[in-house]
Amino acid sequence: MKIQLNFAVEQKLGDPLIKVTIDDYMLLYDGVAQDSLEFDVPLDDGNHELKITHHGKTVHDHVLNSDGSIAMDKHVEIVGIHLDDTLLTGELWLGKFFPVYMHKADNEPYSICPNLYLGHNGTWVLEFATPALKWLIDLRRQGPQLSNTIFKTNHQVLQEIKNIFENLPDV
Amino acid sequence: MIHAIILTVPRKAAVRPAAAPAIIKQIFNKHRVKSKCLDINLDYFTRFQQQCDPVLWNEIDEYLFIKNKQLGASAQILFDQLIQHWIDLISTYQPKQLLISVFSWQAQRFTEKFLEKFRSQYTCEVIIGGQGLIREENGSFADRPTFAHYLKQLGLIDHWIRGEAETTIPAIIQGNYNVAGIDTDFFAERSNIADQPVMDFGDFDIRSYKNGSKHGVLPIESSRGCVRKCVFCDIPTIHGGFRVKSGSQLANEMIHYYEQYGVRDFFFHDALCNGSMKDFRQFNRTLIDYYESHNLPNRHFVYSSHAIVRRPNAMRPVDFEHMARAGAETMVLGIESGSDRVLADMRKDFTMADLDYNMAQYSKNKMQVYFLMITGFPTETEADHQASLNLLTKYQRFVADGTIIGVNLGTTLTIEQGTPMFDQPNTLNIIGINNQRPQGADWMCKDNPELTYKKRIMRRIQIQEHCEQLGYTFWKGDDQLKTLMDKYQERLARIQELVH
Repeated sequence: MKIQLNFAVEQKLGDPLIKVTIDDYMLLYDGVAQDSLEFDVPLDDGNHELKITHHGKTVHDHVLNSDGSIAMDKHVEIVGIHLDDTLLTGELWLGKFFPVYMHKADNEPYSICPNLYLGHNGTWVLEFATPALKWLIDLRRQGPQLSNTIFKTNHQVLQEIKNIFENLPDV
Repeated sequence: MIHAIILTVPRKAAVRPAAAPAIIKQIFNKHRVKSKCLDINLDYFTRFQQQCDPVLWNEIDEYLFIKNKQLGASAQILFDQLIQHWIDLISTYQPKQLLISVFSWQAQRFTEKFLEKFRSQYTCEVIIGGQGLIREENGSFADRPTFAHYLKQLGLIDHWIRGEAETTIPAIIQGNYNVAGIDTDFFAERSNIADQPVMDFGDFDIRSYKNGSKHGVLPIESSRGCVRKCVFCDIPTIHGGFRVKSGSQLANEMIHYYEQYGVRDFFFHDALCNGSMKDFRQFNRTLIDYYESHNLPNRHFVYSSHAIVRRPNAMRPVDFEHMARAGAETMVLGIESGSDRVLADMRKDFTMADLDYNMAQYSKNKMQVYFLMITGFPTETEADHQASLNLLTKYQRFVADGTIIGVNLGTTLTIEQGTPMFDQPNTLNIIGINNQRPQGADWMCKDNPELTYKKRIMRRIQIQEHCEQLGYTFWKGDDQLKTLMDKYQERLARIQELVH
């Protein structure tokens, strides 16, 4: 399966580091974040997890304004993911970010969703399935719904008629 | 006082009003004759379907398009009630004429059964017209309107109109039945499409059709005939040379329907919207200019249509971009096959490379396409069939990104009167069965003898299965498979008769 990741990378405070894995055991990339990364990954059909981990950021990797707001922040933002050349749209917002806080985090959320901005260290996780195109088609269910219309197509009718034809003489 | 009732009858999808009744009504208007359009088909798919037990409704529905189907007693009662309901309603208008638009062969059984009862209860002049004047086994073109002759012999109709209403209805209004197209086997004189008046949809409850559109959908026509000459197609024979409305005339007609009825969704019911690129560009440009001058967003209207696959030098990226801005939504493309060799034999005048270009443009500009495909073309080998399967696999990404919204496979290739294949079967080395002329599904190709009828059907089934596995939305599969089963059983019965 082809995977293309596109990022907006803030490098003014140094290069952010990321690690990309699938299902924890398959390491696709570990290094300086790039604007774009592409992989061709052999994956068995089934459910998987794509993980993008932002790491190596320190407490010094952001600059504050005088009012305490953030003026500059080392971060990586996910701007697009293509699976088998197909751009993820709404699916991208299903990904969850699990931040690793560099301070005591009593009131901070355990995970953030939707979120594509990896400002903290931590791991962004997207659950998906392969074949990816079929997964997307089933998830999106685009176009007209025909089930109760004159245009309908039913799997059972197809199988019944196929079985009948298979046993009919060839005339 | 209503002089004429113009009927739309089952069975066709109740997704929008039909064009023919609205054209006829406008012609009556022009001659100051009062008429009214009634749509039984809409009633059949709404009120009647809702009040029926689903099993009985399904029985009636199959009865309308499966030749060998008969109705059980309960379904018969319901079907008779539907017909009686409409006879009673029509009678209240006391029309002098009843005009029935027989949209296709699927409207024939209803038409016949309806007229059997109508004739015994009400007296007026009955006139039928439409593509369904010929029997289904004769395709959409035949040198003789067999169904019309049949009804006339039964005394169920007084006249038929073969071909265009524009040149025949005015004669009928004047009491002149002696013109081409009225009760003739040959077609009516063809009209100048540019002179066609805008249609009158005033009698239709446009928003009650089942199409998911808030504002309703209307049919519209840009042209008649076709610029291409595909060997399996009878459109050039039925409709004559390609005639097209100017792009601005067409756009202004659309604007008129919007201003008159508030409708913003349109479906072109002609063979193609991009036959004349000059007019198609002008059409899109006029709509875009209208939006800009009225502070409306792009795609304020949406339109869907059949279209042809064009080469990159004929339809440039900017043409696709303008199409999308003007409101092109779904284009129905006759892509037919995944094999360049088969496409060349079909004289489709495009290649897989052209299709790849078109698909990329439709996807980029967020327009949808709907594929029409043909399995079992006479020269189609196993490798060609595999190429079609491969094409569908390759284009799965266009299903995922929402570009492809459907596939329609039809009922395998049939050879129809009025097509180049029928007139010149030797070109592809096609012969008929039992020394008959090749027609319908009764043919074989001497160069490809293993492509039997059963083989064609099995390939069609395989493509449907493949589409299902890949997640394509497959259209009309149930209807088409049941029709194939019906036809094949009829063929078996014929052969058994011959043997005995």
